[in-house]
Amino acid sequence: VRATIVHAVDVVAIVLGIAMFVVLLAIIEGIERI
Amino acid sequence: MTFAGWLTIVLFAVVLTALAFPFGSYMARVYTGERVLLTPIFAGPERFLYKLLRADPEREQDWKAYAKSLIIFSLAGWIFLYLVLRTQDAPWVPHALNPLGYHSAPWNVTFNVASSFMTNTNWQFYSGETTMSYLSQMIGLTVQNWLSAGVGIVVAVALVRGIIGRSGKGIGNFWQDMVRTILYVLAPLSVFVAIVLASQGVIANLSNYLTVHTITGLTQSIAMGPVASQHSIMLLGTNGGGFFNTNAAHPFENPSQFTNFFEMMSVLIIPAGLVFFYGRMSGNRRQGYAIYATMMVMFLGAVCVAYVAEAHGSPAQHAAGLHTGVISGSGGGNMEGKEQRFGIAGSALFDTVTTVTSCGSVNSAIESFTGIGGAVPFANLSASEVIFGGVGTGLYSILLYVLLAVFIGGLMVGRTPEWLGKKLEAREIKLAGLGILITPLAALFCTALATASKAGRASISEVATSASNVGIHTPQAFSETFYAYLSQANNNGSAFAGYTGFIQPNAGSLGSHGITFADILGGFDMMFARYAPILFALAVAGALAGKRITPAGLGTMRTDNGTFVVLLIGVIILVGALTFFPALLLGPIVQGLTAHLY
Repeated sequence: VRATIVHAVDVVAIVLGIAMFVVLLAIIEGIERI
Repeated sequence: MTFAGWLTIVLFAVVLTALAFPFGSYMARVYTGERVLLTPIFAGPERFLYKLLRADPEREQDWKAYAKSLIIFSLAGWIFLYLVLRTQDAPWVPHALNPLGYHSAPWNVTFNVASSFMTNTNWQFYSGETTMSYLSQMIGLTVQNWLSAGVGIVVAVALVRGIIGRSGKGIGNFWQDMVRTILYVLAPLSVFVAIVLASQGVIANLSNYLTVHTITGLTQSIAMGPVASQHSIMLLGTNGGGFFNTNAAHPFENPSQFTNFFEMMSVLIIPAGLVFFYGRMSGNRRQGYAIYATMMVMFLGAVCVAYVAEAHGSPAQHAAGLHTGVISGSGGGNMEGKEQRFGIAGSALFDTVTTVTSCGSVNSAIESFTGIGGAVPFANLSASEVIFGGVGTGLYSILLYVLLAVFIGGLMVGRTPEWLGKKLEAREIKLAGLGILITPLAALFCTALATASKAGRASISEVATSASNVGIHTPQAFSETFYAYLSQANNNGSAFAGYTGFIQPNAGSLGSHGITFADILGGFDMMFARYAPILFALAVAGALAGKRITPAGLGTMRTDNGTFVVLLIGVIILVGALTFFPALLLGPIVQGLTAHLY
């Protein structure tokens, strides 16, 4: 299977994307304290 | 300048207003659950989708639950899109949906593209016809055009509910709002627009690219594809990502003066309609009229500046002895980078329509505009999407400005800040202030990073393509960089050209590579500047939803008259100028004041 999804860089990209959303979820909790 | 040019601009404003008013009323009925013309058709699919999503539409969500649903939904969309784009050349993809056998773009470019389409930005480092398979265009990019537009609209709806809410903390149900937006707002409109576009010559097929022989004996490949369906939702959803690299300048996307007018109308119909929706929902239509007047005044001002500047030409053109006046057979003006079939007015108007909104589609080359003409899209983006703005984003962004204007106005005249009967307190003002400032901060921070670092400067076209530093220190190079991050932060997607994150020597991505710095920084820029303001807008909705409404008294400052319109325009311009004027001076303004041609 030649699918490029197995590349390690894709894991890095997806982790970066998820990290952004984790930050956004944390902002929701942070806003509550304002 | 010509009479026909001015007539086009006036006619556009009149027709838009005439269409947006009833459409706003229609949306108010959709989001209050009233029966509409399409209910018999979509009631069944609506119930089915609730079952599929395991959502209870009757359950009200507070702002935090609403925001979390939105974030999780968007994350799922981002991952799905990333996987679709990175597997476009996988064995399981049917040949008919990738007839040219295009490889996937590199991971860093895909990160940027996924972030771009998921955030309604549609910033494109790639060219659609040389990078994307039909499958990627259809189930990847087009699906996100729908969903990202829906996300923007539901936030505006939730904020309006919060503003008018009389008790409790509920601001609606995200899943119900999303399903209704897709079924009752976006679906019927996009089918209608796609059919009209196809009837006018916008192509819609899954054919192989055509090879033709030119009169000079060479061969040329003409790209095909399912353009009409994608183009319609990218206009209506103010997404802006072109099927082709040249976007709405391509004759297969925008073949005539009529389609140009129709496409501009498609871009603004939902953002303009939402303003009237707000007026109707608030129980005081004059509130909607006041905001509409604010937007229209600023919009027409921007159009006029762009049209006059482009019709006049630049100092450099005059210094070079070029004739830019109206002569027989030509409308004159600066026609560099513009299509003859649209002319100066059709280009200036289209450019303004797509940069006041988050659309970012282009029918001309913005980087070829005169200095002052080019400053118009900069100024539009600097206003942070409040002049109609993107679908939903325009309304919720200007409502945050309204909140700020009420507060400032109250301080100026010594009155208690009140808005639609609700007293404004420190928490709401802090939330609105943060919501307004995040986008400019993200844009300026990323621009500073890119211009101050070697990795960032590698994306400036003169460096990326010639490996020389010629032109890197020009105002044009700064404009390219600044516009790139400003456009991405505002989720606009239009480009001042030049700034690149993708080096693609061959069609199909063979041997291509991304510029990681620009791709990743741009991706974060788009995501953060898209969702953080959304979270603050929803928090404002939550804060206002629980407030008691008190009757207006003599001390209440009115928010539905001409004085407030002037105050609101002043606040918007002041915030935009204070945040962006120094940067604008370094790029387009200095370029507009010099006879040097960059």
